[in-house]
Amino acid sequence: MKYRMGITRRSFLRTTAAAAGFPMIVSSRVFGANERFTLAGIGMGGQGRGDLGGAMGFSEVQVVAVCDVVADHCQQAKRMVDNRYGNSDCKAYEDFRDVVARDDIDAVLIGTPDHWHAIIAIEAMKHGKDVYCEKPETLTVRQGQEMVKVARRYGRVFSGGSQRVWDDYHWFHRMVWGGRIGEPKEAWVGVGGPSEECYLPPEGVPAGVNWDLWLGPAPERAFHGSLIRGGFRQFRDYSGGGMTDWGCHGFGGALYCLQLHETGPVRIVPPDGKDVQRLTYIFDNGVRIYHGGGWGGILSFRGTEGEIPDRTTGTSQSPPNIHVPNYKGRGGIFGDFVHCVRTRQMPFRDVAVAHRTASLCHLGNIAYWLKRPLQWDPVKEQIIGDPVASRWLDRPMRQPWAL
Amino acid sequence: MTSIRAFFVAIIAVLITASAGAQQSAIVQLDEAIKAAADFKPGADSGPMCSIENMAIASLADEPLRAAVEERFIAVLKSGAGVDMKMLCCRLLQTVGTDKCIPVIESLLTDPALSHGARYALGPMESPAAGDALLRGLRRTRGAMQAGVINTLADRREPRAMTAFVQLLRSDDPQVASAAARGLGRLGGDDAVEALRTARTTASDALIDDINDALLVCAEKYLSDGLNDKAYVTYNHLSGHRPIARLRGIVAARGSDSAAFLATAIKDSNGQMQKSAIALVPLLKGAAATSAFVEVLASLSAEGQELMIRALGERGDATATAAIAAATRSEHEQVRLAAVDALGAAGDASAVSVLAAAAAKAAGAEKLVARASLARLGAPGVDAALLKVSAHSDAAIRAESIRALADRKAVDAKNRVLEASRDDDQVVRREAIRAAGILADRGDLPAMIALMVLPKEPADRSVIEQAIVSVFARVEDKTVQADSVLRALTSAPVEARPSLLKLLRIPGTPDALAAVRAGLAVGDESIRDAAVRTLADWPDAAPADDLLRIVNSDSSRVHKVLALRGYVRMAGLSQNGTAMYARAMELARTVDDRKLVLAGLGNADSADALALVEKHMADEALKAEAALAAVQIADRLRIRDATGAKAALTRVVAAEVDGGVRKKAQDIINEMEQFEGYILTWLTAGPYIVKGKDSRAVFDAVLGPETSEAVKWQRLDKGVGAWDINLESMYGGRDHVAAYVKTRVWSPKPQEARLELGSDDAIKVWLNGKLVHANYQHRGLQPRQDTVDVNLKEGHNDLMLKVVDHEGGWQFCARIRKPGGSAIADIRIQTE
Repeated sequence: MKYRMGITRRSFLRTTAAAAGFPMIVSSRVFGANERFTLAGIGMGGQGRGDLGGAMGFSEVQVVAVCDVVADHCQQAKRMVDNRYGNSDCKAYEDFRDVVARDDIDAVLIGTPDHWHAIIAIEAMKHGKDVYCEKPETLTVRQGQEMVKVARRYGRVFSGGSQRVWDDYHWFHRMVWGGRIGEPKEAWVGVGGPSEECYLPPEGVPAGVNWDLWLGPAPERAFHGSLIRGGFRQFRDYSGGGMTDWGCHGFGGALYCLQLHETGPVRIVPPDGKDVQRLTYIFDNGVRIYHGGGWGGILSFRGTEGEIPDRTTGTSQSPPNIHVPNYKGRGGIFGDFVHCVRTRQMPFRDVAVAHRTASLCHLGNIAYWLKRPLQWDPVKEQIIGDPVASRWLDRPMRQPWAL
Repeated sequence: MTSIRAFFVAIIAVLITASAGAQQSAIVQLDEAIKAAADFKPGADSGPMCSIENMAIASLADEPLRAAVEERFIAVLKSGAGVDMKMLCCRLLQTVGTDKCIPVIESLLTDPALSHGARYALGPMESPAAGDALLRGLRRTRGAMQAGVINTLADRREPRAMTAFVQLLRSDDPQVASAAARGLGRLGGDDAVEALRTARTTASDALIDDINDALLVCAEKYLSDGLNDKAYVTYNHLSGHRPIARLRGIVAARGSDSAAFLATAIKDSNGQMQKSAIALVPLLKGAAATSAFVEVLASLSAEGQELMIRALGERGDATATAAIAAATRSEHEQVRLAAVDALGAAGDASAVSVLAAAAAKAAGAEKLVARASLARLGAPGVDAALLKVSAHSDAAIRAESIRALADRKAVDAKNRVLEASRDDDQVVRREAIRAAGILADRGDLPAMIALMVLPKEPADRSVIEQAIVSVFARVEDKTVQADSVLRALTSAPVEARPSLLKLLRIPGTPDALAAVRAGLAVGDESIRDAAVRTLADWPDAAPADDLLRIVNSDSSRVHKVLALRGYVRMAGLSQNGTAMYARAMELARTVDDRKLVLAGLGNADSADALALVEKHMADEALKAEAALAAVQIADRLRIRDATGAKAALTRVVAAEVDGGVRKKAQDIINEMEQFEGYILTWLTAGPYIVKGKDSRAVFDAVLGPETSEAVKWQRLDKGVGAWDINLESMYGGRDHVAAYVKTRVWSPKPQEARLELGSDDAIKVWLNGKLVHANYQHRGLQPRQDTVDVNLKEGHNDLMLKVVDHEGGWQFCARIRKPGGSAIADIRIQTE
C-alpha cells in the first residue's frame, strides 16, 4: 500500500487543486448565522448514509463530499446527495485522507466501523475539521483519551452520535434529576453482550472494495462479505459488540441520568454464576449499574423513594417541570452539532462525555473477557493493580496506522 | 508425625494431586487443540482455536497452568505452524505472556506477516524487556514494519527510543520519518523539541505538518509539567501552523498575561478563527482580562458580540456588567438575549434595573431569560436593589421586580410585597399577592386575612385566597390557620365572608366547621352558597349528615348536586363507607344523580364499593358508568384483594359493556397475571455444546433431543422460581451452551392458544414435534418477550424448548394462555 499518512494541505493543493476543478462551493471561512458550513460523509454504509441524509435536512449544512472504501456505498451516497441538491457536484472518495486534506471542508460525519473512528476523527480535527461521529466513538479506552486531547488541542467541536441518550430517555432524566425516586441507588441497562474473535471463512474480495483500507489498523484477515454489511459489530477487532453498540445509548442514558457522565466506576465485577448474577459497575458514591435485568427494557432505576419506570403505568407519569441541560440547538443531536459548529460551544455529547460512556462499555467487555473483577481509577483513567488487564486498554495498530 | 498432621498432609496431597490432575487434563486438551489448529485457515473448524482461547483465559487464574500455556505458545511460534495459528498465539500472549515469551516474539518483528502480531503482544506488556525487544527490533526493521515499531515504542512512551527517533526523523522513507516525528512528540522534552525544530528547516512538505503537530504535543507536555515558558516558546515558533491550536497553547502558557494578545487576535480575525478565539475567553481570569475583552466588543459583528457576551458571562466577572448591560439594548435580538442571559451569570446588583426593564419590556424568550437571570443573580445587594426597583414609576417594572423577589425567596421583602398588594396597578397587585403567598409566614396571616377582607379590588379576592392557601401549607398548626380566619369572620363585611368561609376547609377544625355550618343559616345567598360548597369540599366526613340534610331539603338543584357529590366523596373517607354509599344511591332520585354517585364511587378502593357498583351493571341506563367505576375500584383494590379485584374485572370483561372498558379490565388482569400461570414442571436434558463454537452455532446445531439418538432426561428440580427457571442452578454457570426442557400440555379439546415466552438468551420451541418458534437473541430474561400463536390438539401436546446461553445468565419462562392473553383454565401440565 502506498504510504500517504500525514498528507499536507500544501502538497495536496499543489498536486491536485489545479486539476481538481472543484465546483463552486460556499466558502466556510466566514460563515455566520445565516450561512452554510461544508460537510463530508466518511463511511457511507447504511447508518452513515442515513445520518448524512438527516444532515442535509439542515439549511446550515452543505454536503460536498462522500467517502467509502466500498465503491457501491460511496456511489449510493453521492447519488443521494446529488439528488437532494439537484446537481452532480458531490465528490466521491475512497480514501478519507483525501477528504480531510481539503481546506474547503469544515466538518466531517463519520459512519465507518468502530475501529476507524479514532484515526479518522483525529486526522480530521488536526486538519481543522469539526467532527460528528457515530457511536461507539472508540474501540479502546486509550483511543478515547487521545480523541479528547486532540479535540481540545485543536479547538474542535466533536459530537458523539448517541441521540437516544436525550431523545429516548429524557423522561428518565427529568424524573431522576427531579428527585422522584429520591436518591438514586441502582440502575439496570438492558443491552447486548461483548464481541468475540472472528473466524469467518475467507471470501474473494469483490471488485470495488478496498479491503486493505477497510481493515486499516485492524489485524490482517481475509475478506468476508458480512463484515462490510454491518456484521462487523460482533467481532472484537472492529467493535465491542452489543455492549458498545446499544451500550453507548443505554449506558450513556444511565450515566447522564445518574449525573455520573463525567466520571467512571471504581469497580467492575463480571457475573460469576453464583453471587453476582449480572456484570456490575460500582461507583464511588455507592451507585450500582447492572448490565441486563431490570423491568423497563433498556433502562430501569431504583432510589431511596421509589423506582422507575412504574411496573404498571410505565413512563406515563408526567415528569417534574425542571430544566435538564441538553441540546443547545434545535433539530435533535445533529442540530446540536450544527449549533455548536457555529458558536464553538460544547455539544451535548461532547467528546469527553462520549469517551466516558464508551470507556465504561470497554471496561465491562474487559471484565467479561478476562472473567475477573477490575478496579478502576476514574480520575487517572487507569486499571489499578492488574497489569494484565491494563494491557487491554489499547491495541497496537497495523502498520502504518497510528493515532 | 502425629496422626492428625498426617491426616492433613494426606488431604493436601490429595488436593494437590487432584489439582495437578485437573491441570494435566487441561494441558492435554490444550496440546490436542494446538495440534488440531496447527494449520488452521479461516473457514476451517474454529473449534480448536476457540478452545485455545478459552483455555488461555482460564489459565490466568492458575499460574502453573498459565506457565504451561505460555510454554506451548512459545513452541508454536518457533514451529512451522501456519500464520493464523501463530497470530492467535501472539494475540493471546498479549494477555498471558511474560518475559519468557519476549525473545521468540521479538524474532517475529521482521516477519512481514507477523510483525503486527509481535507488536500486538509486546506493545502493551509492562515489562522493560518488551521495550528492549522493540528497540532491538527498531534496528532490524525497515519501511512499514519499522514505522510500526516506532509507533509502538511511541505509544509505550519509551524514553530510550529518543536517539533512534531523532535519527529516523531524517529517514528517506516518509512513513518512517513521519512515525519518528510522532514518536518524538509522544516522548516530548527538550531533546525532542530541538530535533523537531532542526528537522523542520529541511523537511519535505509532507513531513512539516507532522513535525509541527509533534511540536504541539511537546508544548502540551511542557504545560502539563508546569514549564510554561518553554511551552510558550514552542508555541510561538509554530507561526502559520494550526493557528487555533497555537493560539490556545499560547493563551494556556501565558495565562492572564495573554489577555491583550487574545483580544487582539479576536479583533483581527474572523469566521471560525474568531469564534475559536472567543471560546478561549473563559479560560482567562481577572479584571484586567475582562477589560481587554470588553474593549473589543463593539468591534465585533452581531454574532461575534453574542458569542463574546456569552463567554464574558461564563467568566462570571462582574467587571463586565456594565458592558453586558449595555448590550441588552442592542438592535440585534441574539445579542440582547445573550446579554440578558449573561447578566444572570456575571452581573452584580447594578444589573437589576436593566434586567427588570428587560423582563418588563421584552417578549418571548428574552422575557423568560431576563426573569431567570433576575432569579439567579448571585452578587451581594441584589435583593436590596430589587426592593428599590419595586417602587419604580413604571408598573411593569414594579411587577417584574416583585416577581423576582418571590422567585428568589427574599423573605426580607415581605413587608414591601404586602404593601404592593394594594398597588393601584392590577398587574402589580396580583404579582405582589402571589409573592406574598410564597414569602409570608404564620405571623403574616392577620395581614393577609385583612387583605382578603378589604382588598384593593373585590376581584382580587380569588388570588388572595390562593396566596393564603399557600401560606397555610407552611403553617402546620390547623388551629392557627382556623383562628386567623375565624377572628376576622365575625366582623367582616358580608361581601368578604364567602371567601373567608371557603378558607376554613383547609384547617377543617371543629370550630371552623361550626362557623361554616352557621353560614348555612344566614340569609345572604352568597354566604349560604359558600357554606354549601365549603362543606362539600370538607377534608373529612364530619359534615356528611349536613350534606344529607341539604340533599333532602328544598335547596336549589345546584346545592343538592354539590351536596350529593360531596357526600359520596366523604363515603370514601369514612369508616362507614358502605352504608354511606348505599344511602347516597338511595338518595339519588334521577338517572343523572345515580350516574353522579357511580362516578364518585369510582374513586373508592373498597370491596363494598365494588359490590355496590356491580349491582348496577344490570341496569341498562347505568351499566356503562357502573362498569367503568368497577374497573377503577378493582384497579385500586387489587393491591389488598387481588382475588376479589380479578373476579370483578373478569365479570366486566364478560359483560356487554363498552369495548374500551372491557379492554381496560382485561389489561389490568393481564398485568396482574404477568407472573402467574408459568409452567414450572419440566424434564430437562443437557448441557449441550458444540466444541469450539459459539452460541450461534449451538443454536443452529441439531443436537440431542432433536436427533434420533437416545437422550437422558431428568427432572428439572433446581433453579425453579415463582415463574422463571434458572438453568445455571441445574447445570452450572456456562456460556455458549444449550439445554432442552420438555413437558406435556393436556387440553380437553382442540383450541387456539398463545405461548408466552421469555429467555436469556436464545430460544427454540417445538410443539408436537414441529418447530413453532426460533429466536436467536442476546438478552436478559423478562416475561412475555416472545408470543407465539399455536393450536393445541385434544389430549396431550408435547412441548419442548431449547434454551441457549450466549454469555451471562441462562434462564427461561413459558406459559400458555388464550389468544387474548387471559388464562386457560382447562389445560393441565404434566411431565411424562
